[in-house]
Amino acid sequence: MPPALLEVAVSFEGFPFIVGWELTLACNLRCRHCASSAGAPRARELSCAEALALCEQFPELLVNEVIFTGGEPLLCPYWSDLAARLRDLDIKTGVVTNGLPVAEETVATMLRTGLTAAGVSLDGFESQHDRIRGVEGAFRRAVRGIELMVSRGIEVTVITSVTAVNLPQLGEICELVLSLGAAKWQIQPLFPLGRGRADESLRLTDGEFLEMGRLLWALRDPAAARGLRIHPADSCGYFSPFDYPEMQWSGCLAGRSSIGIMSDGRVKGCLSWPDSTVVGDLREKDLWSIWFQPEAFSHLREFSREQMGGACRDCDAALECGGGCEAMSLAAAGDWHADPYCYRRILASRSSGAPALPACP
Amino acid sequence: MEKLIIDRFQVQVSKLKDWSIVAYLIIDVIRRHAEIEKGLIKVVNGQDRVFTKLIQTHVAAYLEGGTMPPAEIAGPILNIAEDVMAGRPVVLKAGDYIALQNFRRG
Repeated sequence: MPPALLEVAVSFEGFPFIVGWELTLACNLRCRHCASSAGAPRARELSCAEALALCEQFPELLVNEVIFTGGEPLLCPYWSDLAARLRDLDIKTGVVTNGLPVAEETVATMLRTGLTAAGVSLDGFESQHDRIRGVEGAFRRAVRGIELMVSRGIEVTVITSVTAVNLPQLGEICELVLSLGAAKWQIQPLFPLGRGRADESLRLTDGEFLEMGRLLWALRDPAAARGLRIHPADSCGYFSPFDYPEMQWSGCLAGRSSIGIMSDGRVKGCLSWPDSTVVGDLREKDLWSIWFQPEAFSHLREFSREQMGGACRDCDAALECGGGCEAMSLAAAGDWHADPYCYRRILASRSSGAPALPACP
Repeated sequence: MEKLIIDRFQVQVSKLKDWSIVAYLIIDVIRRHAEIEKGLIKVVNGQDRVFTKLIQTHVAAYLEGGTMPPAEIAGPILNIAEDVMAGRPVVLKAGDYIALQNFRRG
């Protein structure tokens, strides 16, 4: 028996149904708010053979869906090999792309390899999007990519990171997303991570975050009536009047039913977490051993109110919520289970006079 | 119960408020990879053939010859054997599945 297997505990009985897989950290853009600070590839990124071998580990862990991310995952030279193999293993695949590499032949390859869902980032209209992305023409190429995919039946989700700059235009951006024929619009507040940490002017204040919640609530039904599902992502909650009833938050899934794989084979609960949270290296152990090792994610799989931070510890929804999105908790509060981007906290603080969002640690 | 269909298995996930409590998983490993024939599990196909073969071997040994399975998997195998003898669909609890996979991997 390999030594790693001796460490396997059976007290935790969850599985990583969803895998976020950073195929490469290489990126053709240098977005001002990039949480991964993407640009150059990591040293020693997985080879095609290593990545294909990793796919074979997914079925026994009951992996249901793999999302390719980056960097720009479509710059990875073997993304289509992985998509094809995952299709053969009956595992759904999707990709989060900036849209620039999406050409006719890319879409044809996506369809051939069973990759039928894509998320494309759009942070506003042309001048705003290009300024944030740092490349002139990025908006037009992203829109072209979206149109190509929609026209070929790929389900497109437009992803918008909400900042202090684009918040007032959410209604107009919604119209843009509708006009593009996207199936979903995913909204998330800017995460103060990576390059997104450097520019304080982009970060939402308490009041702006609450305004985002109000706008998303107001846009929900009219958008749905026109065929667009708005999907407030992690860190858009929690347990407040602005929560979408069909998307009740039940705690962060990272380390409990989802996992992140870095392009060099290291493993985290979520790819947005800092490298200090790496729990294993797939060049040293297999995914099963890493997932079930007792020390991996133990603080996420079982914890008490006393282990929660910030305002979450004293919140009456604490145990149901788990303290919100752990990536935002770490980024904005420097602690687990302490996501300060919380409508409930802000609404409560306004009635009690409690302090507003803390500065980033 | 919220049903999450995974093609390789049928997985039923009870929607618990606290996802840190996850003794919830039931895996119908027989659905696609094996058939029950004359009270015995017959492997038919699938990525998980080795895993299903492991179950088949030990359940058959227990039912036909009364051979107890290795201690590490005795519980899961006897649970499966009970389902087979009762003519019920064979399902695995998550803990049994993990124990069997750990045994196979070892």
